[in-house]
Amino acid sequence: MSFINVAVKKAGYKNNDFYIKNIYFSLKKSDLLLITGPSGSGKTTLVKAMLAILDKVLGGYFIGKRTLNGVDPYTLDSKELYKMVAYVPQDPWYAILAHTVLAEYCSALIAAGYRCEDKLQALLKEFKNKIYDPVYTLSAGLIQKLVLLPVLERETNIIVLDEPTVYIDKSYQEKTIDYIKKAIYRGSTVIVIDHDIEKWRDLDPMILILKEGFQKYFGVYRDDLLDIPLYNKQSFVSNDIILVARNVWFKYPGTRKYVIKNFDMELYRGEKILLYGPNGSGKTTLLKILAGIYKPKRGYIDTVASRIYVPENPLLYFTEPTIYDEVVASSIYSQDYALKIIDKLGLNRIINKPLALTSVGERRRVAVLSALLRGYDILLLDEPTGGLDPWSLNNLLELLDNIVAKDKTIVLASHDKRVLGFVDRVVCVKEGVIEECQL
Amino acid sequence: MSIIGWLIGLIERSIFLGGEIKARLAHPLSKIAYLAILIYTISRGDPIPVGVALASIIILGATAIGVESILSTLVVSSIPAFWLALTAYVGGIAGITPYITLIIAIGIFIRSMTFSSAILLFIASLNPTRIANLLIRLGKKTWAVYPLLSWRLIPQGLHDMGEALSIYKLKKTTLWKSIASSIATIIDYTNRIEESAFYRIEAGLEEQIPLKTNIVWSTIYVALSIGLVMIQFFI
Repeated sequence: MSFINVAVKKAGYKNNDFYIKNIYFSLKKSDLLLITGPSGSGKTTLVKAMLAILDKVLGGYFIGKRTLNGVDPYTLDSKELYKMVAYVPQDPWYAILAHTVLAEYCSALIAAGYRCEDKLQALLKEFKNKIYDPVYTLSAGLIQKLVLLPVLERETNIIVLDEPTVYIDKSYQEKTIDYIKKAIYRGSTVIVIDHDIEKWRDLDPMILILKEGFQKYFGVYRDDLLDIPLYNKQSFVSNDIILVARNVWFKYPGTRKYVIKNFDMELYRGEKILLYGPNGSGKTTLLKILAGIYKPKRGYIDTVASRIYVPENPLLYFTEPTIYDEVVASSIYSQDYALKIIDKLGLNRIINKPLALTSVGERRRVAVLSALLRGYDILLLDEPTGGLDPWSLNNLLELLDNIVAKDKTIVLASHDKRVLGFVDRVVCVKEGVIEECQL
Repeated sequence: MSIIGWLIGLIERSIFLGGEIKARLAHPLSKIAYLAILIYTISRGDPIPVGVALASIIILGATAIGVESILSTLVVSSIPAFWLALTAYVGGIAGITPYITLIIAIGIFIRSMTFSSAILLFIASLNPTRIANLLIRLGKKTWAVYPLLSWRLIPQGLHDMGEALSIYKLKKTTLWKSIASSIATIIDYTNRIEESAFYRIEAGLEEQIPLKTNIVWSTIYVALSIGLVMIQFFI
């Protein structure tokens, strides 16, 4: 018997012309559904429509039929729905409601009817001495971990995860998949949005592929669905040192512990570097130090190159209202060239759309594109590939290479193994120090 | 860094630095008593007790919250205090307000700074978990989420604003554009939290969040309060 039934004739947002149409699927208990498709194809919108967030919370519309355990979620009381469904959004920081790690974990469990004291071990195991830390100081990876942890500890009938592994390190990714496996055996129905469907293969998932708001495929997992293009790296590393970091030490105000210790690095013109390491290892801090946003407490950064930092949350990067203003009007290259690149990245259909209304994947591409076309010597990009489908990723990497050919240096902080083939050098960071890479 | 970025950093550090630590785990009544006695001391205006009150704020702030936090508190509170003292002194010389000597102007500065610092230290030592638990005890289970959410969003907003202002410096765009975009980001953040966690917010909190009371720091607050009362009595 079906546990989840979704028949979307049409659903969309208020004041936004994007909609999803003709999507139909049913799931039983213990089913795993993977929703995939290009960035901006409506995956997140579908989940919001299914959970009645689209029409009940956002003032959008839903035409069709949907039931969770036989009931339309629109008619359910919020408390009942929260107990029935564990939902993790694509940007995990928007799911955090409390100020410290402990308060967040406990309040998430208490709202679902659990006693926090009974489940504290899991928190202590993952966060150790960080449980009293304020959440706004955590890295995106730790935030994602913190949002996932109570979801995995709860025994809900339905689990919905929107790109749950973008910011978390390899070991926690494996742990998350393992938890999901247990939840499925327990009888939960799980829906996951992910671009990397292969890592879920062992769980025997159903696949739903969306494109431009329409359903392209719904059925069992097949290897031929993995038509993922491979990008062939180009290398442009020169002998020209563009930045030197020497004996850099850094700690945050109000803390005693150094998060970066004795860091040395040279960046060469045309080089592409990946900063790789577990959550909370100091990758974002390093990017900000290299960008000149944070000043080292000890040691120095020596460079005359112009630098730009693109944060994990691309909204903090934007200073213009639309893609056109942010990218085309601010480009040091010709308008035609900028428009051509926007077209290549598939962003031309939303060029005049307010950036606040774009999807996460679209924002990320716009932020990287803006940083590229403004002509900085060194680009410091924090998780630039999160939320990008393989095709968008390939287009972006190709574009980065074309610009690198014009003497740019790129430093990426990422857990995304898809970029390993793109970079010239991998620098592994653990607890603020460089160590030998074990990829 | 821009002046706005610097001010934002100061406010963030003075109120929100650290998590649930020492002062924030002291019993709320001990903190309320200390604040009340500080205000009484400042309102009486005797120089020695006010000086002792300021010293107690500095020492308590440095040990119970952090040196960087209390330094930021002093800088933030000195801004309105300096303005008050300066306008009173200059106004007196210009004949707009009653004339005061430089010593009195310095007295106004110290009292105002002590008052602002006392308020900032009190806000910095508030514990939203305790406020949430109090609301749950009072039966306001859906309201209990809001103190947590406020302490979640305000420092996040300040932090993000600081980050956006740093990026604007790198981008070399105009300051107003960056401020506008920072504010838009904060509004967007609030909307997205509502969208992502609507059901959880509406569900409220049935039970209290576990929280310990730190006896040592509660005792220190009480001891400082008694000390300040004694000074008033003997001087």
